[in-house]
Amino acid sequence: MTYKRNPVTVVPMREKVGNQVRRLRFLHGEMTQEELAGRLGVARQTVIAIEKGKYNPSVALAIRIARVFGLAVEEVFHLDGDA
Amino acid sequence: MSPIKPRTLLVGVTIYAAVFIVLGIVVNKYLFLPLIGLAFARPVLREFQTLADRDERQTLVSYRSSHFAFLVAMLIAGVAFLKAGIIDDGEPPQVATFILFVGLIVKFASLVLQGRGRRRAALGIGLVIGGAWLLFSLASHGFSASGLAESSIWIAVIVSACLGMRWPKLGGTLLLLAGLATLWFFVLAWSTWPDVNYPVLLLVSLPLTLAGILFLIGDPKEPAVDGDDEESRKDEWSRDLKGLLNG
Repeated sequence: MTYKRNPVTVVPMREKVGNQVRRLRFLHGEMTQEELAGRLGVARQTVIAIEKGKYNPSVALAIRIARVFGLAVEEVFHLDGDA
Repeated sequence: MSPIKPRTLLVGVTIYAAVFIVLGIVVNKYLFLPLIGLAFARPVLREFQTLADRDERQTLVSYRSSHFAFLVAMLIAGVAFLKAGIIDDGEPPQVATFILFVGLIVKFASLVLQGRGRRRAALGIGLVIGGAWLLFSLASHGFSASGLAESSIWIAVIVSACLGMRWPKLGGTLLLLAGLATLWFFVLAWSTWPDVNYPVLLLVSLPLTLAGILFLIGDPKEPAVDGDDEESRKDEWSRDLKGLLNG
């Protein structure tokens, strides 16, 4: 029996996540950071931090961001080093 | 109860601080003491989910700032402990001992509790407390009769913690009784044994009582998954023990 209680996914801690949020804002009618923050229900500083790559959002927030732009999560976020 | 809005908290904190600053200046300097509570207001309210952060990043920032505060507090307590013990060649100050060891125990317990569940946290606390005091007993009294008698108490604590992994109610009850018994012992000894100090009390009774309670509460039942059965769950206790011992 190979039941594993705590499966661990090994993710390199320093792997960077890039995103297209800034570009997508401009493509969507030059949406302001304030407007995007309002639609996501987060602070503007959080949008700024995500755009600068200083903060990686949770899966839930990443999905909400992708939905604002009508895209899949992977079209908004990518691992640096991925094509 | 609806969560407190950050702005409401800010106004409340400002009024609270202003009142006690004025009272501290005008009436008595000890009225500055309630201001210490401000450091705990946000984290405590957040843990009880009565404070709504605007978003997840703010929560993360708050947690990280608390983490840095913990590290600084440990550093200061550690320096005070080492200075008194090594440079001044004396007894470390009680307050430094208290902050250092209680802080580390809480950190360890919280880490295992969040990462591995209540039972394993209880096991970890039992092993760490029992093991540390066992070493202390042997170092203080060696293998003399009194040393072995004292050591047997800590061996019993370790055995109770191990039993708790297989029979949580039994292990939990034993640890809880040990915690309450040591509390009773130290409280009674207080008047006749002035060397007993409150850090010792809290480094024995509190963790053992906590471990007992954690065993008795137990972990929430996990949903059944394919390949999982009662026997494999029962066998986990030995793997859990090995996992904790191997880090």
